[in-house]
Amino acid sequence: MKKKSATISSLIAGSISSLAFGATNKLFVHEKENVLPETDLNKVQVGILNDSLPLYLAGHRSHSSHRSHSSHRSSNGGGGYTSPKPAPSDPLGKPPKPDGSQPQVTPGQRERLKRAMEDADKRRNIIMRVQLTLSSLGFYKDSIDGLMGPNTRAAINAYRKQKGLKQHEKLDVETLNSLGIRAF
Amino acid sequence: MNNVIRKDIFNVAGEDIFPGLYRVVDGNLQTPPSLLPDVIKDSQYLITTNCIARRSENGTPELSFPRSGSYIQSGDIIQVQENNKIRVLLSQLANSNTLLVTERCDNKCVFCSQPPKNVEDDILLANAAMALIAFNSPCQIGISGGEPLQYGDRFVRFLESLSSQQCQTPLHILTNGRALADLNLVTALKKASKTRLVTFGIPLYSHSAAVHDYLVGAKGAFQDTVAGIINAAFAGFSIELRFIPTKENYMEIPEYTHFVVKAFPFIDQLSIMNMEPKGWARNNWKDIYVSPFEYAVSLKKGIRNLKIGGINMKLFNFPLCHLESAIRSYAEKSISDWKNIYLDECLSCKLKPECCGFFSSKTEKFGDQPRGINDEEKICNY
Repeated sequence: MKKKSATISSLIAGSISSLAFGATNKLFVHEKENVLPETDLNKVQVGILNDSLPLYLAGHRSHSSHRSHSSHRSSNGGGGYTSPKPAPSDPLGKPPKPDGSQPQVTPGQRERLKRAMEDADKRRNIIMRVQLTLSSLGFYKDSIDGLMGPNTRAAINAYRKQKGLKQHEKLDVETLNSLGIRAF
Repeated sequence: MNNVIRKDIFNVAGEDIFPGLYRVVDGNLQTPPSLLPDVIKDSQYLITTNCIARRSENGTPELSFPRSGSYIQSGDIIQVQENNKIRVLLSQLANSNTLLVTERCDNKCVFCSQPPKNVEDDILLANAAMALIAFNSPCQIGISGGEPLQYGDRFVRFLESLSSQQCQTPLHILTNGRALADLNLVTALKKASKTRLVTFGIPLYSHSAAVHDYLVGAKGAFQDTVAGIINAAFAGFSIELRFIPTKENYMEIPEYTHFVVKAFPFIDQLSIMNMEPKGWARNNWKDIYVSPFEYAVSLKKGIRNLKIGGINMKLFNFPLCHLESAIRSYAEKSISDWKNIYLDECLSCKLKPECCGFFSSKTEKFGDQPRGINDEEKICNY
């Protein structure tokens, strides 16, 4: 529920509007278009008058100097990121396919995933990474617990449906490759 | 970019390594497992340029870095890309760490150094979560984009997932603040960061909506951003405001700072930043860049307003030779090391140890030239 405080917001609207000088000339002219409408500020949470002054308003905290980090590597040319398209084939063997198609998953890889999922720690680790990834992609909304519950399964299958992957009861190499997760 | 202070991207030769995120570990130690798979930092071999990848007996990849130890430490997080490159994502050797979580943005700032792209890059948020969890640093790490908060509720869950894995890393989130006009989102974000120090770095380029909206290329942005600043501050978040002097707003620095003092007295800091000649800034340079020498008077008045008003202020990305001596103390060594260089004229400069130097994207065409300061007169009088 959005809280409102009409009296305070009109106070603030007043003080902000009187300071919002026109930019196109150097005189202190109060231009109508720079006034913040009161109705918009009613959606804003303010609460000084009713409570004692909170600590964070009383003064400035000491700050640690930090870098400006105003820009950083974009995804191309230097890049950090490529979309989770089908991953290269078995890293111990052949180089990636040039046409980018989904490489054949080998029985060896399936076996290695099966064994990894039988190890309690590895299983939990794999499922947590799957949950984290699906959470960021918007498919999974529950807790990151490393457990294959019904919600986790549903999220995996919803992801598979969108990517055109086969639905399965268990996690498979194709899905992990698609998510960019190395599991073994 | 071969003379940056810290190289963070390497070509890799040798064995193929499955692309993805890895944590670097020391081969001689037994390190408890983390969320991410490990890559062993092998210091046995001396190599000069590329990384060499090998595979150890148990299948764990081993990496030798050039002059091993200068670039990478056990605990760092790297990303193996599909184009035979390795990028260091999070490093204990870096002067700052920042994670890019999206390239999408709802503003179009005329000087944007990271121009937005309409791509499906949600996987970046997942990678950021896993990297932060595995790195688990007590030092502040930056979150940037594009616009990180356009993830909305997914960003709330991002914060929750960090806490659920005992990662309390303080975060400095660069945002245009517009999403914070939604009070529900702010409340949810606050709830998800109960035990985490979160600072929002929010650019505000004018006290006038017309100028701000013009500079960020979006009508209505000023209104949203101001509401966002107020909401976030009253919810208890730390706020850092950012201002970039340009041809459109440099003459009003005194009025702008006066406005900040009166309207946003609760902020942690106002950072006034020199423009980086990258991205759209480069394209629009002659229309928007203004030399620090030209706005020196305006800047000094603004700093005075802030000082009287009790607002902390910092100057970011200004080489000391471009500032009057009286205000040099506000300058920070603010350029991230992977894109930080010094020029030839800097070699003889007495102020080099305290100076942030230049962006690696700087060329003679963009921005003022360095003036090595090597006599007493220059140090005191500009």
